[in-house]
Amino acid sequence: MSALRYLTLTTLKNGIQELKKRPARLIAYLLFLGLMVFLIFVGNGNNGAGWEPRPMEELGLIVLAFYGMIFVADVLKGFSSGATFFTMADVNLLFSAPIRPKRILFYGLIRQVGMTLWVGVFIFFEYGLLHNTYGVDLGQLFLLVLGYGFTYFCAEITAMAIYIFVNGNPVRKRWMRIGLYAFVALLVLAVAYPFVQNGFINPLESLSEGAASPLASFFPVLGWAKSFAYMALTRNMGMAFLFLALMVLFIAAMVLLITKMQSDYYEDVLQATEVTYAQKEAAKEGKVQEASLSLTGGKVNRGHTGLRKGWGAGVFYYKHMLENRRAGIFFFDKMSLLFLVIGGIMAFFMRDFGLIGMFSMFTYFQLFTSATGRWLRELDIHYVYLIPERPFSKLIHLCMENICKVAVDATVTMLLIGLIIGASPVEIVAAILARFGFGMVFMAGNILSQRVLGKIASKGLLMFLYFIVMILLCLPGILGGVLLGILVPVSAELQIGIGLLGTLIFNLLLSTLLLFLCRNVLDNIELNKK
Amino acid sequence: MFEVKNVTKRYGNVLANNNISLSVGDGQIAILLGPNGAGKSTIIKCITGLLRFEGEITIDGHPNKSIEAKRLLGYVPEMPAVYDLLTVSEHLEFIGRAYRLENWQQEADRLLERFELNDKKDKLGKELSKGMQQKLSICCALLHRPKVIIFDEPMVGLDPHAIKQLKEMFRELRDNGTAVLISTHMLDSVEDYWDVAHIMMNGEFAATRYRTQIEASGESLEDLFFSITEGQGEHP
Repeated sequence: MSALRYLTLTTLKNGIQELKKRPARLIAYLLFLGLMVFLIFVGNGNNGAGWEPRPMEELGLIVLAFYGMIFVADVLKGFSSGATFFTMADVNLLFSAPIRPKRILFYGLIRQVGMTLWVGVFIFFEYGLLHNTYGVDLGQLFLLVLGYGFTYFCAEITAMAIYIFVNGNPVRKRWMRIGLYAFVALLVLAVAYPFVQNGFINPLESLSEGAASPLASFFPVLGWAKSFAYMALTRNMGMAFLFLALMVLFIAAMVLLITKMQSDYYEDVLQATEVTYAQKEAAKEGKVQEASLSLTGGKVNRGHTGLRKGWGAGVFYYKHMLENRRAGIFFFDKMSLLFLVIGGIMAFFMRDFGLIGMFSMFTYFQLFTSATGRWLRELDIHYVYLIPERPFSKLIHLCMENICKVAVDATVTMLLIGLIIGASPVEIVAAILARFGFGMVFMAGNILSQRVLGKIASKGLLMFLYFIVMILLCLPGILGGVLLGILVPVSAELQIGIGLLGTLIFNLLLSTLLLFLCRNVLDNIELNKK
Repeated sequence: MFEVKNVTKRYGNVLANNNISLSVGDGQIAILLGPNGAGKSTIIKCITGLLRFEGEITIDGHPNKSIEAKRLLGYVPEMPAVYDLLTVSEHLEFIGRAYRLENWQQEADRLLERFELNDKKDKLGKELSKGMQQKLSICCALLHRPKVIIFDEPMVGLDPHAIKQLKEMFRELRDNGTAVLISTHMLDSVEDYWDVAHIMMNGEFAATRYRTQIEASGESLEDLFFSITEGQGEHP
């Protein structure tokens, strides 16, 4: 058996055996799978006699935007750190072994295919929404995931090619960057053209029309990926596979280019691998901002020095605020800001969904932005365990920074959304409070997952467990809110507000209970590490 | 002083520490010797309250997980752990405030000068070399003047000057009545100041020697260490 085949099979076998040793993780995986099947089963219901799907072109636009974001964000890595399919162990052991570099490159590529599809399973959670809005069936959903996988893979390999091509050559880098921006601008123009032509009316219809235009449909990579998905959704499988074949050709061309361009790609990959490794290590420890700082050269503006406030456990809050300031965060990190901008745009185009629809969507986004917080980082350093204060007091003060962040996020986000969709002041206030409640549940849920499941070793698994725990924890608040909205006799205008406030009550009760139950999380480091 | 009585620590089916007992009196320096995987770091983490265990550990008569015990305890971990976005002086301010120390600044200045970190006061944690981070970690552990201090491989990553400073610091701590426990691989780095040595093997104490014993018998600690770790006979 060749070394690479042995490595692949043994890694896979050990990964499965590792699950046997960690039953909590195995249960989490099974729960995740069960939840996914359940959501697909529930979402697969009959849409009713009078139900009409929304236009498929609209979904084509959404798919294009989604694939586009994935592609551009990933390709941009090629200009800074580069992309890599390798781990530090590969660099240390494989690169120095007597194996042909091209074989090692293909080993990395094949492993990456598995990784990208693995990440894509999250799209299955959208099945209910896609089925009930656009009439997407399960087979089509699989093809959407496949389209995502190909887009991501194309992006990774493009980033790698760009990195090898521009590394150490500022002129090439500048021109390639201009080329990428021009590429994206051309696509945006193609999509936006009907909107301009129609006199800036019916934005959703016009942009959908633009996304379905021949220029956008045949646009390299992104257009092909979108068209593959769109043709699959409209059951034109012949055309779908034509676009898929174009992407396969693109990947083959890129592989050829990389191997021809520079036979010794090790040096280029080495730096990218080291950066990715540092980033993963930082992310594992909850140091997301520190990881991004290391990518950008790590320039930190110290500003004034000294904590100046805080005594006993209270010092943690002031320390976190100081660290946030140095990391360039003022209650909003980059991820929250990105979701706010995307959400604002979506709210503008999807005003018909109403406050509850938008609130639900933003609560879903909140899942992704609540995963970080400085308290998580503290669990890895011994000081928090040794400081002579009660564990519960330390826990509360560790969470204060996050609580403030949640409050500011709730106010800004719901005010923006409320104003865009024209909600009443009462509804906006209720939505702000309700979002705060969900933020508290997410924070408490994060602590619970630390307490019960131990320190999560990988980012992928973190997301898995996060989804399971959070979805289960959201249920009492959602059910409570719905019940209160139905049972409390108020006017129709106030009903939404009452429902949202209902979620706040249940969520605050639940998060307080969870914090109390997890009060000893800081008693010893073992509660956070397995 | 601190006492460890019949402490056993298991990770699942793996027995990391088996019925360990030791005590370190005020003004005494104890060293833990042993090969990798002998269980030195585990017993240290049990003493510092970072791990759960079976048995009893007290710091000056207080259970080791109590707030009273934590006030008396200092710990320097094997891997220096500093905050990336705090400066050197802010680390000490953080400890000073967290431990509710009234006049921490003077002691902080003294420690920084001693470990030659004075000119690095405004450097961020992430800008420090590993050796500098270790020095800062030591300063943080000493700031609240603990009565019991535990070092886990403190010399790793330090330059010769810092090692010299640290050795002097050990002696001063002993002279001031502090109970000191040091875990190390480097036999030659501790041979001139220890009072009692425990050699660990497979999670147990394979031998315990007092300096007076060694001096009287002419036995060499290094020879004893290798005869135990290389499996040559019994050593009570």
